Amino acid sequence: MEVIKIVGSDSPGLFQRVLVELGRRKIEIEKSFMARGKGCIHIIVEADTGKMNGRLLHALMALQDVESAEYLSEDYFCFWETSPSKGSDYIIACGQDKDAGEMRKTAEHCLYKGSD
Amino acid sequence: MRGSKAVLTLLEKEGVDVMFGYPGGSTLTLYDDILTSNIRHVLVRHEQCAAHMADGYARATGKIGVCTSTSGPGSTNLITGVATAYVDSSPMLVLTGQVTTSAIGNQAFQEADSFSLMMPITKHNFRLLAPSEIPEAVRRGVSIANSGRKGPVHIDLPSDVQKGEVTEEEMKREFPEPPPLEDFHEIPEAVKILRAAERPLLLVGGGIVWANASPEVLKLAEMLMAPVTTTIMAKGVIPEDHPLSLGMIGMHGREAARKAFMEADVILAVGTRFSDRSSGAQSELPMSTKLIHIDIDPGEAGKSARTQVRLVGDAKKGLQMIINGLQATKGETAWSLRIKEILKNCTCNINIPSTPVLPQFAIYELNRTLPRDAIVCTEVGQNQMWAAHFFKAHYPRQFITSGGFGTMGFGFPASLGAKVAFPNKAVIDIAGDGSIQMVSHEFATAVSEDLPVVVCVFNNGWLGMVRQWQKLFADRRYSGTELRDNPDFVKLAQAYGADGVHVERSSELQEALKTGIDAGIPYIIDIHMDPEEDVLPMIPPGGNANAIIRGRCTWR
Repeated sequence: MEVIKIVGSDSPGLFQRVLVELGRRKIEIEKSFMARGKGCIHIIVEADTGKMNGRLLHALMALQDVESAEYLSEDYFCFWETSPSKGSDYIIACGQDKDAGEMRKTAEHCLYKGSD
Repeated sequence: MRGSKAVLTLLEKEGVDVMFGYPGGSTLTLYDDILTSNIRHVLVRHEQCAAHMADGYARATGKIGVCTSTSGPGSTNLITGVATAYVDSSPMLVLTGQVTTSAIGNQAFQEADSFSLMMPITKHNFRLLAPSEIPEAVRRGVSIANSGRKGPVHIDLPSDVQKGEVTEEEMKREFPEPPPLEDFHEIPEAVKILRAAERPLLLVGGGIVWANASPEVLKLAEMLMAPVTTTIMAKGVIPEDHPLSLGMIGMHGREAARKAFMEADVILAVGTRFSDRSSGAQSELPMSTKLIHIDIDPGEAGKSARTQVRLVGDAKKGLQMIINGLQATKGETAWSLRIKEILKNCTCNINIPSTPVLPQFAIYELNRTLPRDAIVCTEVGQNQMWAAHFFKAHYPRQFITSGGFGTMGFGFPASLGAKVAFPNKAVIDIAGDGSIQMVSHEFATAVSEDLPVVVCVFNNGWLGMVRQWQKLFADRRYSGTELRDNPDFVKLAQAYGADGVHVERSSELQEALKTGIDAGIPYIIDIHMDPEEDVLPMIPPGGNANAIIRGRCTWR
């Protein structure tokens, strides 16, 4: 199982396009997370990439509006808070020190947790 | 100006001079503005053929092809044509009408989610929700379709977006292109390997055609005295009568090409994606074979497990860098002598006059009769493979075929697209009696738009390729492959205002071809053939070089 982080510019359909690209390569997605803000889209995907491991990042990078794609080797936390009255916000944080500032906050509230 | 006018104005600025399409309720505004546009509109009889025509135009010229349809069924009808272009990396702009933005998602009349439907078969797509988004979609769309690994881009245009206003400021906006993905840092390693190679070989694919890199391929081949084999998409990259040309490789390719491929010690593969039909033999390569792969698509470069050097970027640029690095030119080598021997050993005598006509002889006659610059399109199936194997292409973009997607019904509309681009060249479609019936209504387009192409129907009364597989691999259990009660193709063409002739004997073929080329109207040559004649040579699926079925070709 791999965890992949994809960051792209905020264009309609980017999340769908990433899922389609993974789907057509027979890659089964276990979990996925998407958040948009400040002109960017962050996508976290947990999937079994099988034999596609080597070239998958290249294929994702070749998609229009994708700026980076990388495998995550560390613990990675996404926190997404939302409220009908207050609006929503999200934090993405990563690092090995789970007790450090933002990491701790996100860990406490995380809705998504990677394979570790 | 209003949105639809902005679309056409931006296309004109991008150099578009023709679009192929079919109108409908959600493109009324666009079609109203076509009346005052400089862009020629070719009215097709089915949207799928609009996509194939735009694709044929793009393949023949290297320029972007543009097609358009209305929403819903119009856009779903385009899909096969768009997928065909996508798989063969053909640059295309696909404009579909859409229901008004307020109705999207309500299952309105003629509504389909074209944005999602097109996503897996396009390089990129846009759904426009405001007129202000039009300049970015058109300008970036053309740029995306034409850059990197080329491909179709789709723009979904709701009817109210076409009617809305685009300001002058919005029309002037610039959209900078990202730098191309490129990784040539291993060029010195590639040069070193090629310099030390004793038996180098060039395997080139369609990427060479799109990169206009044929001169570099020829130059490098002659510098290295390396033979060149092509995939079906690259036929004509070097003239197929050149002494270093091995012809096409693959399931129905030349045995000489496969032999040299197996004997080479270094293979330089450029613009090819190692498809199962063309380079399945790579798993049989000796472990000592070194593979250098150049591809503009980082997802394809290095695809073969055997790759030693992976280079990402434009084929023309990569080849130029290798040529500059090599500098010295080789003379005659033991390898070049071996290539001569291999080519001599692999022979196919196809000058066999007969009744009914042998398909190989029909191609022989085409080679002999067609002007050297004629464009040859094919459908898909036996007709395609006979043409791919035996037709001698002299220059890139001369041979147009649906290689990756294998779309029956591609060739005839593609030939019309090519004829729009090159009205003074002879344009031929090699068809089967199955495939032509998928698109025969386009004779109406051919006649009304004055596109005099010649359609050679290889008529054997069967869906020949499927029949061949049932014959060879399913113990002759023919199922669903006999085309009973075919129409009279000549009368069918005549009903549309075209003309044609039946050919029963080999001796009638040359005159029929000359008449067709000179007819000045679309012309069909209905060539009656023996259904028992198979497309050979053939390497059975999963088989190795020893399993080849040679047929009329021999190895001495």
